[in-house]
Amino acid sequence: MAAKKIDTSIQDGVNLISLPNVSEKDMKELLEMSTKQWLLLPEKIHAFDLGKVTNFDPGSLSQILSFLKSLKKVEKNHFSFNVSPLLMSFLKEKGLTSTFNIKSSFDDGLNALSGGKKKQVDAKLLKPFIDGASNAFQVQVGINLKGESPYSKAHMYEEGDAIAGQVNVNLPNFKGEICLCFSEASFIGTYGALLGEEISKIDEESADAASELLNMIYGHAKTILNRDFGMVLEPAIPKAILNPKPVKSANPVIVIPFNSDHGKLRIEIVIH
Amino acid sequence: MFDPSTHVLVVDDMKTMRKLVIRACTQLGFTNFTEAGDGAEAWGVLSSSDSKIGLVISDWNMPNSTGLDLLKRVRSDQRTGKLPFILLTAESEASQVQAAVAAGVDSYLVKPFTAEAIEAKLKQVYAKRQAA
Repeated sequence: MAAKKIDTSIQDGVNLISLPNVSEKDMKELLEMSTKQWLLLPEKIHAFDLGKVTNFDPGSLSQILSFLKSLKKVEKNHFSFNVSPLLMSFLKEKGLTSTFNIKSSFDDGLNALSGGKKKQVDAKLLKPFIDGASNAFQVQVGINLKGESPYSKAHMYEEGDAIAGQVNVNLPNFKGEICLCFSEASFIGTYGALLGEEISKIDEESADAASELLNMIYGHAKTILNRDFGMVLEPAIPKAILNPKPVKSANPVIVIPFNSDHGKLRIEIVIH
Repeated sequence: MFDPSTHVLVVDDMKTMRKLVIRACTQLGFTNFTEAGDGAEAWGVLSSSDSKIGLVISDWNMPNSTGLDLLKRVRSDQRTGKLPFILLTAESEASQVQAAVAAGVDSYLVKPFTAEAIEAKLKQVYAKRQAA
């Protein structure tokens, strides 16, 4: 087996594959193993970054074509980008340009396969949620939140989430969910700081504190997003969900993690 | 400032928020509270013949009947029309404030709030009422 590795990552819910120069020796075996793994991934879109590829040797090409055929069978999609003029000539000669579904960029491919809508959240749209959370916790709970770097993932909630406040937004320009997620320890600590009452477990009565905190965060974010970004978000009543289980999302889940004196918590945002 | 014996009606669909308001008001010396989970339930309390409510602190965004609906109902009824009424809300958009003022709210408090903020609002409302 070649010592080389094929770099892959999940970006915006897409399995992004940076193909090395597949005309090299031993690539066929590496591709045979890798394509089997890629087929097992939950992502519905696979993207090939062909920036390093000049042409394909027959063995490697047959592995990739087999993979693309398998994707079609399971109703998954793919596209390629970063195609050099040299590679484009090669693919045209072989009649493979439409098979590879070539796009001008990753974003172009994502938009084309996502129904014309880029399902990304602009970083500046996250700031109102971050500020809303910091303000709500500082003023109402009396604790400082330390924000950590946002990231995206493919499922809502995590194992170990004990309680979440969730608000569903269903408007022409914004459909999705916004959640505030706690572990048992972080919620019990937060509740104690919020109300000056110690609880040993989360019940239906204490659970609505998660909804109320999210209410404050969403209220703040809504005011800013409507005023400064021209959005038309409407009031929404959050609900509390006890012991939410991880659930696969059809769209990327944006996570804003925080740390506090009582442990970690997260805001999760999914836009449909 | 309001007499500490004033009976306060606290209206919010979230039990946590009702507790927070009551805790803040208790720190100010208030001792008499009735809770309601939405505007409809609150109206049931206010419209009863033996209602002794002297101050309403209500959330805006509630199922069944909002705080604004409740405010309009309170102001349109002779029995309750002059009740001091503070709206509590997570949103501070200008259009909301205008709607609340137009409906006759005494004051508007944005969540999150401190006990000091509630105290300041209550003093402001009381002073305005005394001056009128």
